[in-house]
Amino acid sequence: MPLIDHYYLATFIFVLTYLAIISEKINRAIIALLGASLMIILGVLTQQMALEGVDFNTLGLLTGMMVIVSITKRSGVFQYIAIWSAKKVKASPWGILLMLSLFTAIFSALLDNVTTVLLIAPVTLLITAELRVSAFPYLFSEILASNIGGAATLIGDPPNIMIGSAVGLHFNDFLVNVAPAAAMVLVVNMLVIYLIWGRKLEADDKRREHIMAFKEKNALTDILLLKKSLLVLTMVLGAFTMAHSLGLEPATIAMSGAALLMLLDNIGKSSEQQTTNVENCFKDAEWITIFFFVGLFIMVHGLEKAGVLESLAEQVLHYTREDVQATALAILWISAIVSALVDNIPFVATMIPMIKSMAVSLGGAENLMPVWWALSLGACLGGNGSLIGASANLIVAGYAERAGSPIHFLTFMRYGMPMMLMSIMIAHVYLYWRFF
Amino acid sequence: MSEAEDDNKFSSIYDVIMPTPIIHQGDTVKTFFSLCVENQVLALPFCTRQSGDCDTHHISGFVSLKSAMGKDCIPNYMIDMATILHDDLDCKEQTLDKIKNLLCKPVETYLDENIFFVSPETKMVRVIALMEKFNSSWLFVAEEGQYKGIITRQLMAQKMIKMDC
Repeated sequence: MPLIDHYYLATFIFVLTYLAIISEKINRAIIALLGASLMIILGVLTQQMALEGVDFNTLGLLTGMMVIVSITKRSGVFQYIAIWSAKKVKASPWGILLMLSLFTAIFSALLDNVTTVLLIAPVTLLITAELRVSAFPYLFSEILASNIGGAATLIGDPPNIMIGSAVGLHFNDFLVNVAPAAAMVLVVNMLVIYLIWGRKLEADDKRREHIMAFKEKNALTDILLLKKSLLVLTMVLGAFTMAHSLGLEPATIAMSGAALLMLLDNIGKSSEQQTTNVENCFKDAEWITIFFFVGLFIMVHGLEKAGVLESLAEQVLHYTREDVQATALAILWISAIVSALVDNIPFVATMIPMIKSMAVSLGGAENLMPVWWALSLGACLGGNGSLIGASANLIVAGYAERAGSPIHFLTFMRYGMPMMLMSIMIAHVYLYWRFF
Repeated sequence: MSEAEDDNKFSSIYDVIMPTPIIHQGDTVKTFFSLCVENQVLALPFCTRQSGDCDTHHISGFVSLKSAMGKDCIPNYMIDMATILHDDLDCKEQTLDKIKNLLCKPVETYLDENIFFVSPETKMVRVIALMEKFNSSWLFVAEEGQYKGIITRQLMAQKMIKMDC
């Protein structure tokens, strides 16, 4: 089949798949795998080429961290820290909001943000019910913090994992180049949240006493597991920061950590118990996300091989006149707005090969670095623009709705969109100041 | 009667079946709870007819106390935070609202369509195997299209203790 046919065919399959993902009528993993299958069946890619498109480094890192978090959370450490932090501020409503948001941001940066918000939402709803304050400012702030925290590190958010893997960036690269911007965005966002809600939050002493009466130690269900988990997490995070000198890829570190923690968790247990434990641990991995990635990688590879992404990159460079600064800032704003409205994972998966193909026109791979940071900040922070902007937002909204404290789409957007645009403005200034 | 026939008779469940009423389309959860309490059972079969007799063709499933109470009785976050709750908690109001709301709901909200019937001649060993398979504490019994009642683990134990160690 001539190349021109592949060009249109790949575009057609991708657009169709993208629309199906946006419609949310069918599970996104099914759609992505069907799209990937079509790319092979219709001849855009051979099976071998499709496999070459799958980024196993991203998949390994994601799966490894999912396993580590799945074991660690059983110890109850997250609830322990949340309650402990609420008591540290003497159950002051604003203090709790601030502490829970900071806790969410830090854990989202070091683990995955979906798990973090899933663990913090119950604590938040319990505390706000006790204090008789609205849960919305707390949950809203935590959603923002989770996406901002996730933007700060290589492992915090899937877009960063994909960018890091595709470009060969290390944990410290994100820490040095993106984390300062994320920290600034978090500070400004918390200030705005204080001005909107924080200064008006009040609770009488009796209600605060109820919070102080919580015994956070009761949240710890397995102290031995907690010790093992913290040991492995520390080792993994240490290895991430030294990955460059150790010559290790992030997937190797995460998978090794996962294997070590599973070993420590199962050592001395009967064969049957081990099987049950390992099965439960693997069940907790988000296979929908992992297979969604597999499908996406193949589809995007199809687009790449058909020359679609190269021609798109040429269009972008035409509008930005092949200027790195204009390209980076354009990517920052476009990725933020797109990520606020649709899933940022397929967007970033598409942008990565497209940006890679700009290297020659922009003066080499080294010159592309600000563009990568722009994509990372735009895609991660953009998720705060609407309730559907990031998985963590939807997870919190779903949980809150079941608890009888629904977060409405328009209410979230009324506050989220301006705050997201403000965050992108900060990121814009940061990128300009830091790299140009 | 021979010893083998005696064993055979003993090993089937026909003599420990507990007859129960059936809940009907349109009944509330409160009615369902009342019937469960009166009859000391954890589940009842559900009939698609609004009243009257009901053969197995019209029994489309069952409702259990576990599914009706489950997560609809108290807020989800209280279940997740169960280990740290204390008795001075003030958020009981939400729970009471939830319970009041639950009692007025139509019972079909909690319908489980995976209903399985055994006959009164079914052997105890098969009943135990099926209970284990479905992770259930009861099975419904029917014969010739007519609902006969329920067999529970307690009733099985009641039958078993008649045996010698």
